[in-house]
Amino acid sequence: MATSTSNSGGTATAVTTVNSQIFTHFSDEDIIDSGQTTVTENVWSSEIGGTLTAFFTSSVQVSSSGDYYYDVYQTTYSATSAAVQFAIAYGNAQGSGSYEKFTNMGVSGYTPSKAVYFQYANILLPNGTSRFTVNGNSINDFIAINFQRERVKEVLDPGNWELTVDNGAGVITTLVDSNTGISESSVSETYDIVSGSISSGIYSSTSPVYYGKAYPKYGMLIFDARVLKNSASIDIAETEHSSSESNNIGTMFDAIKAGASFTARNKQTIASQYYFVRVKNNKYNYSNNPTYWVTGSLRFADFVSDPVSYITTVGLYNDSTELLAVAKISQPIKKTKTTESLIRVCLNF
Amino acid sequence: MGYLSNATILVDAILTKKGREKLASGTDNFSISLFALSDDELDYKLWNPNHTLGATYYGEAIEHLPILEAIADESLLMKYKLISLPIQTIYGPTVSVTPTSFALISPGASVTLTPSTYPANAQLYSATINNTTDFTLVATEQSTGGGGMSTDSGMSMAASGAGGGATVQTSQTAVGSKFKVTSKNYNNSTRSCIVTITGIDTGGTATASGTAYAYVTSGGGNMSTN
Repeated sequence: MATSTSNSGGTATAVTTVNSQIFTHFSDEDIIDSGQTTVTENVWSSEIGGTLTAFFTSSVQVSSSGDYYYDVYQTTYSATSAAVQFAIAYGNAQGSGSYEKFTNMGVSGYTPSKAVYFQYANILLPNGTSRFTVNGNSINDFIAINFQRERVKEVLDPGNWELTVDNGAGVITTLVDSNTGISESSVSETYDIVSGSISSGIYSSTSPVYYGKAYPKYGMLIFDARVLKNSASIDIAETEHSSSESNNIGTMFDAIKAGASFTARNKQTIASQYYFVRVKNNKYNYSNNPTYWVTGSLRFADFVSDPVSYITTVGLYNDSTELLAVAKISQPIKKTKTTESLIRVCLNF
Repeated sequence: MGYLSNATILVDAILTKKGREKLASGTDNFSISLFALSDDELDYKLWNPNHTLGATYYGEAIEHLPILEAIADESLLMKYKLISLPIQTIYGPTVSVTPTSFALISPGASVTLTPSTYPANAQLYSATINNTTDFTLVATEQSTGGGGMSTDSGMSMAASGAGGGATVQTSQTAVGSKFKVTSKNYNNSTRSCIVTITGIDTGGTATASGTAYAYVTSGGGNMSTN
């Protein structure tokens, strides 16, 4: 409540009670659910552009869990800005390619590579299917690239990733998925991984070399190790070692590092809601800002008959007057008794 | 002849911590129904009624001010709300609270905070306490039935403090006309709180600061200093 004066014959006369108002109810037509909007963005750490060109591992992580996977960073892992971008793993259905880590079990083949193979199989393959297949061929062993979930957000954007691998001896291969160059609104469960580029499309599109499968909803890429070996000349070893590691993960990491180019985007659907904030001419013409008043009176005499206020912030509340969302306006909006404002507030979540 | 502008101002909103909390607890709990406007960062002393170029330029210094980005802490936002008052208003709303400071010397001790608005008139207030780890806040009178209320008549207490977490002080808000603050301090240290009371219809604010004194340990057991 505030004391006001009534305008009687141009003479201000004090009265004691007036209505005041801080909050305004939205009406039904003021709130619009605009449905969903699809947004894609770079998956890497924000300081990286669209392409990751430098790759680092952590000796701490590799020594503790490197039998199973390597975490890959965008910078030296000890740097404050270091963040895991993706992980590389090696899986082998027979358990080859890694050493007998669990010797006390007395049974051969229970290696990290076997555990990894069926870990990914259980996640990615339909119930009752235990082997990955690429272009109809069963995969015995694979290299997996697994994106950090927070980077993929909802899905890895199919057709918008490109990985270059270099075997270190002059064989450079660029890999994409089969959705490259194709526009589709929905995302399938899997896409074939083939050679090609985002800009030029799939190489030999009528008879491409199939390198593996992309699982965009999981943020995972599965590469057939034998095709990597035969077509990209990356030396993935299947030899089972009793006491040493084949280091297939390290071999793939070296190929990615030498390739020095990994582009990927994520894709997510955002729900948007619009709130139409209608500020009528006779509303919100005064302020509780302490600079608006001097010892309880209006600072400027002109404001008595022509009050002026400025809007810089819109607060969105629930019925309990809890502030749930807030929107700032780039420059103050002048509000007088002869002006009205319409502010459209967009809330994404 | 120029073109008339039909532009609508479009701005993006961000969720506050409270908004995220409500959304996380289910979309049914996230229901925006009210809006308010504020001008927190403006200094109206920059209004210059003596500008030589005339009335259009009185607010020039204010109108060109770039506005800072929003932050997520709702307790730091919307401090100075715009208010709808009749034209010819001279005096602004003044909210006060009694007492303005209090001391609670044992767990379970409480104090009643009574806000008022000058000139005297019945209305609802929103009270927010900044420490729910050591204090509770409840509205003891939900409504006074006074005139001039322009928001929901069905406003209810909105308690959302985490309750747990010994080191995290979360805020709690209640709506009513009187408020009771109770100490739940079983710790061996003095704890404090600030209750900010805002007139629902006026936006005027007043604060009360409180202290809960340590629960003194003696002879291996806890003993109140009360």
